[in-house]
Amino acid sequence: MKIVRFISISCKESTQLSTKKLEQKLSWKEAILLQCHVFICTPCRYFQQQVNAIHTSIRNMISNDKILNTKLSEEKKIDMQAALTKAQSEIQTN
Amino acid sequence: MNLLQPAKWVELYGDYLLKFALFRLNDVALCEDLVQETFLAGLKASENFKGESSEKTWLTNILKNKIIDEYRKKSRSKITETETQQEETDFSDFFEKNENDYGHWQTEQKPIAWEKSILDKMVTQEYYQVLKRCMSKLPELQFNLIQEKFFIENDPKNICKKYNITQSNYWVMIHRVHIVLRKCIEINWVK
Repeated sequence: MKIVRFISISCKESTQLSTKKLEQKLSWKEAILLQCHVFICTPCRYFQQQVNAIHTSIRNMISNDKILNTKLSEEKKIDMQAALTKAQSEIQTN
Repeated sequence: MNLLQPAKWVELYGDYLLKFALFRLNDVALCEDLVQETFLAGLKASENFKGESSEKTWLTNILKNKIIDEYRKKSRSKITETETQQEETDFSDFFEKNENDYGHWQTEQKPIAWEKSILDKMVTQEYYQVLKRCMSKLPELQFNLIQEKFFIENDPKNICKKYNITQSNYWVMIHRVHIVLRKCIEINWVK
């Protein structure tokens, strides 16, 4: 049993490695442990696949989403500029 | 005062700050108001600006606080709920925890299969709404880490320094974010 424990990792550890893998290269040992685990563990296989998809979707959202294309309207800019100038002159007169 | 150039703020940082706010709050009009408030607050507090950070970072921090206030206003209950979660870094709510156990999934937490059709739809506006809602439920610090990572594209080392956390702490939190986000999307989007 000890040898099994030595070469196997828990679901918690496997999800940790899946997380890490998204940000950096795993060591060969980590990579093998993760591969072996997800090969036999269906929930962790789903986890890895889905977390990858979520990661990609956040990147997609930021680059494709209207967020990136949303800009202040010219009117709003003028409003803001006016409010700022007004506040600034109030500060200076005080 | 001469360190700052308020007259140029709108032109230089207006769009950036708006995008920053929209990453957290979906309401464009509200975000515009917050940006304006940020500029005014910055002006009032300009004496406090010591030039330690850039003008942009300084204004972004003011905006960040305004966004947090907005969340507090919106739903007090939600905030307290997430604040209590902040301490849960032992993951016992997701994985079994007993002496002989190897950290298996709690039965009700096991990831289920997502059909291909579901994965394909992860580029739609409906999905992004769910994703944002799930992200907004994260505890403050965890959300900030995600924002730094994806939006500002800061690398882990710098993020740790900025928030004064250790690398291992960072990994624990990112790990948790992944588990929680995945679960939230499964509940609200897949099922």
